[in-house]
Amino acid sequence: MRRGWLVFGALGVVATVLAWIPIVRAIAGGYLFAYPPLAHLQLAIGVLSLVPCLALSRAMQAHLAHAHAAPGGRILASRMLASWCASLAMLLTGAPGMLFVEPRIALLALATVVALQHVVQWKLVGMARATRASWLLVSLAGITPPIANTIFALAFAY
Amino acid sequence: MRRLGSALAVVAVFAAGVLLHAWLASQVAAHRITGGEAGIECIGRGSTHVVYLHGIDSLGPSWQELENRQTIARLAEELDLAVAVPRASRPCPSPSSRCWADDTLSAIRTAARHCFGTPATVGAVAFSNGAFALGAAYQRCQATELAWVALGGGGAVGDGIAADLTGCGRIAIAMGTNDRHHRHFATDFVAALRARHARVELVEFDGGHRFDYAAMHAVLASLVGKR
Repeated sequence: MRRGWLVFGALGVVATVLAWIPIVRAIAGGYLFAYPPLAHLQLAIGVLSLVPCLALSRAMQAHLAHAHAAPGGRILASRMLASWCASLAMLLTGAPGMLFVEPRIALLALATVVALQHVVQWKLVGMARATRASWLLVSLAGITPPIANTIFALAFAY
Repeated sequence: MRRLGSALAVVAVFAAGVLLHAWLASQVAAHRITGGEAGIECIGRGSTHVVYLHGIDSLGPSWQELENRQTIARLAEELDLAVAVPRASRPCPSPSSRCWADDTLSAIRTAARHCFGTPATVGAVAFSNGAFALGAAYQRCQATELAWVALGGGGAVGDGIAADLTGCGRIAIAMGTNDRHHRHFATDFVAALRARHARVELVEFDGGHRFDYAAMHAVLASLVGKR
């Protein structure tokens, strides 16, 4: 098992725990849907934060590692595109209200970004690499809010 | 060497993407906030009418403000409140954020009309930046049209405090004992208000800069007479 996958998967586990703590507390307190926009965002991030945990699975690792050969230039372009889109995905979930008055629209924007980059990657380097790039984007989008919100809370709220 | 160069290029593109996307988002947000894009939410259908003023916020609600609204919704359910939630229409010194300014009281009136029609009286509850703006109005005795004022994580004091606040209404403040950047504002504010005979109450809780449910419940229950 490669160390990089383990670290990423472990980060996913940490993010998942952090994402689900407020959800479980809200369910226990009976106020999860007291303010629906927050509940919808929390549940979406709770699901997205599970995606990077797949890196801990050997089957998923084999699936992600399997990629057809492509010209070096295309692979570099694919990685740069994924990197660029990852920064946008992290902004969309990390600060959903920064661009949208209705923050839930950020989830639709994220889905659009992932879908568009998937199509471009598919044409550029094939389906296997496109799937890996999309998985990375979704994972980073899921990891960002729980980690960022926890750091913010520890710094200011507690 | 070639792999290292490729990795560095990818990291550089990521860093450039973060900076450029954040800059573009802040430009769009600043443009929309300066253009006066706001909006009013109505939360709860209780019999006591309240207006909530947020802290420094982004174009749409930040994660912290989303949590504050959840707290407001819980308080509305628990204390039979109907809450109007206006959005500040002025840019902060950092123009991609929203701040309250000297239009606070008119924003409260507009929000109350939007959510409640023409109510007899409304109370006002505010957090952080909203609390400083509302506290400033209270200390000048300009908030007499409000049934009461509740502040979380903020206060005021500075220039312009009335000599006597006897007839200026009730005010209560919730403040975290670990709120190192704001606590002294609240304690100074309370001392200044008490010296001027204001009807003021301070509720402290173990925590930092947050809109604490238990503390705000204690404050609001006291003000709306449900304690």
